[in-house]
Amino acid sequence: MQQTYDANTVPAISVSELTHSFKGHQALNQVSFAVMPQTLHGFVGPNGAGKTTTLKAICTLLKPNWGEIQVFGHSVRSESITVREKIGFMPDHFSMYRQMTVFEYLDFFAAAYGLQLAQRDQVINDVLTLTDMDGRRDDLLSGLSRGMQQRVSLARVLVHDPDLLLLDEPASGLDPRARIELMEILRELRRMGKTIFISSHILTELAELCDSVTIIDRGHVRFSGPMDALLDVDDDTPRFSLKLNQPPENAIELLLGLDGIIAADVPEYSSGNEFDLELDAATDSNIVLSSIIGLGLPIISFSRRRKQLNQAFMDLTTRGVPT
Amino acid sequence: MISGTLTLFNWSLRTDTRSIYPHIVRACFTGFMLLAVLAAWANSLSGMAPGLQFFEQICRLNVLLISVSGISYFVSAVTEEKDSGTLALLRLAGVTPLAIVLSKSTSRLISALMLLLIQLPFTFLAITLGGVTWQQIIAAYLALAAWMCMVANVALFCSVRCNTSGRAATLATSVLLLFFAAGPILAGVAGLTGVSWISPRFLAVCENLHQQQQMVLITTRLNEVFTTTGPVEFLAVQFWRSVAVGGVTFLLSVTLFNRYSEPADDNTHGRSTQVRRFTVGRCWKLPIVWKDFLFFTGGKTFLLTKFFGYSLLVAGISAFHQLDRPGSAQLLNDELTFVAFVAITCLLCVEILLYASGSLFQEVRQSTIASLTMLPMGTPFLLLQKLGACCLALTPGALWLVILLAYYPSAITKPIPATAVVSVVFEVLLCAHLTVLLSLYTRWAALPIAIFVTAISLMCCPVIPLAIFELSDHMARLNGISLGIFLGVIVNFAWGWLFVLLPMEIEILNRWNRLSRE
Repeated sequence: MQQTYDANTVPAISVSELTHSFKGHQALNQVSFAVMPQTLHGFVGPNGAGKTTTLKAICTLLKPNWGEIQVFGHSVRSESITVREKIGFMPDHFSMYRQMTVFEYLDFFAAAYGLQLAQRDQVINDVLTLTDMDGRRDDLLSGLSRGMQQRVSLARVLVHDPDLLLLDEPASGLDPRARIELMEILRELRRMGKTIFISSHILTELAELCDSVTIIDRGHVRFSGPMDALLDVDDDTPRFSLKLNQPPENAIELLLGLDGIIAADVPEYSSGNEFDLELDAATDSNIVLSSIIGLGLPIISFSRRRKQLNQAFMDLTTRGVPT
Repeated sequence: MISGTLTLFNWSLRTDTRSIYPHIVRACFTGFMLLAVLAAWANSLSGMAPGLQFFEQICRLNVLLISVSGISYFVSAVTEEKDSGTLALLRLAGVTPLAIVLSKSTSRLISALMLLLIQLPFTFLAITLGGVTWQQIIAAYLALAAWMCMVANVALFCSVRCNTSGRAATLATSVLLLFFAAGPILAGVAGLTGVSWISPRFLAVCENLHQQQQMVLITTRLNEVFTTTGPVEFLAVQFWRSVAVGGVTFLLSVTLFNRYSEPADDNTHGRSTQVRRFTVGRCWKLPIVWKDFLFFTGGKTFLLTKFFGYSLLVAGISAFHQLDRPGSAQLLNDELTFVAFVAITCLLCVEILLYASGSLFQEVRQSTIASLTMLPMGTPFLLLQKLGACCLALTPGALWLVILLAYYPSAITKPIPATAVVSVVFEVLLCAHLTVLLSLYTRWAALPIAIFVTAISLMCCPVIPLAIFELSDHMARLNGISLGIFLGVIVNFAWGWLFVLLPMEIEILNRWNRLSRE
């Protein structure tokens, strides 16, 4: 779902030359990136890369040493109250009043964001429905499982209907089911037009979920842009994946005999019906496909191999723990 | 067992040595000793016995320090392992309860005894200043060491008994307060010989208990040492009894260790669904006032309970008055109105300090500072709302003070001079501010440390507000202003707020913002 933006579109988040250090450690160094409205933007980096520091700077909690951050055109430094009204921040740890019920907790935050009594009921019902927690509204927070508490946290950041959601490791500590359900809720929120900025370590899910991504390592931005641009970053030789139905034993010899195919191999994980093809950069892949069809091989699929986000992440970041 | 004990002991000693706080306490103590020497030197000019005065000051400070360390330093010996969930690991490693208790408490006791030991040579200065003998000094330090042994082991027992450091500190504080309060209470009851409806046997029991309590009390023993002119007994009854109580509580700690060695259970999620049986209504327009009033101070139910509690206290004092003077037309006479006023004031002060220690700390403990700071309101307004909730919770006590003041104004205003009112109010404000500030730095020791610092400040600089009072009163009289005393009150509060409380308020704000980023 690639959207196009005109030059006048104000980014949801615009970070420019953000620099911050504490206790002699340079946490962020000239970090710059932009997040366009109504997108789901992944923010990825190894431990200690500066993700949480960046998030805290965006959500007005941290005043950086240098640089400018704008949220929907409002400066985080000089218009912090306006910015706070536009964002919902979910930190990486549970921060809850455990003696409250789900409804009281949401009612408290709705009132704190200035919603009137009549409005609050409607909003709380809506966010509880969205997070599938409407059956647990009178439960004490202390009695909820971690996954449910995470849903309540998400409901809490939604009560004032923010345009931008900042989620710091929202899926950490969740079981697979809760994680998948959370991702579904995030997809739903994106469909509703929210901009979501999500910091996470779970790269496979981010790759499926995000429209754009920023990779940060040791305080430096290594990549920022559309997910496709990251995953399509290619070597000199385009690689394709070919899947055949009951391939003949000499399939590799047949494929290597075609013009434009430099190398053909059966990947380790394959049961023998998948092939990795390496094409000559100058060759049109459509011509290669026509040639394969011409061989009479029963094709199931023929697709360009994209980099996995894991691979891109490993290529862009540095090994070892920052000192 | 010896190897495990030594390893743990060594590790505990190293950890305590590396921690900055004991060093700060020692540095503060040294500073106070220097001040005491200076004060003694100043007194020597007027021909008094400066050595004895210096010695008395040091001993009183030690009593305070040992009592405060009991509810802050010793009390976390075992609970710190429970708090961090490492107690089970120690048990898995085969370390026995005796080894854990011995190594964790002994390292702290040694560290604290070191503080007594290193000051001993400096205290001998008192002999050269005059008015005190070396036997008195040795006897006093032995009494203090025994008192420390008792307090440390009682605190250790609280540490073993409770699941968290906070609960252990509360229990230790209650035990210590009860111990100190028992003396005056028992003496007061034993003195009620003129009251016909109290049995003489009961009074005799109270008198006996009072005497026994006084024999263990460090302050009584120190007074005995200070006033003795002849040969001093080094190891008095107080020494042996304190050591015995310490020994018994140590044995209890070891014996009951397994029974109470469950880790802190803060993490209750995953339990079966819990539903509260009562509702608290909808959130108010001032949401943080609503939240803190209901979920921190106890809400309307506790407000009413407190009001009835205070009413019962006044009714009890009134009943005493009626029993003492049957047929009296007054509900309370002037003396008992004053007693009721002072009692409620004391309870109100305790309430204020408890709220001060918990109001911001609960946000730290629940990691909710960032969520609150992210609300679209300024931090000062947010903190003011928290203050508002506490003030609301204090209304029952405040209301009773107003009622008593309206009922018998002269009974209260006559015996209490305005200077005392200002001093008490300022000290409470100072202590409350310090408690709030320290609660953002320490996990559980904010209140005892704040009381300790306030007590020292009370000892060191009461002269400043009194001098300002006198000065403003004098200036007012010179200029023909009759209400000079009120001018003194205003001036005192102005300088106190500007130079003492305001900097603390700014630091509270800064610390809150720093914590929201962590």
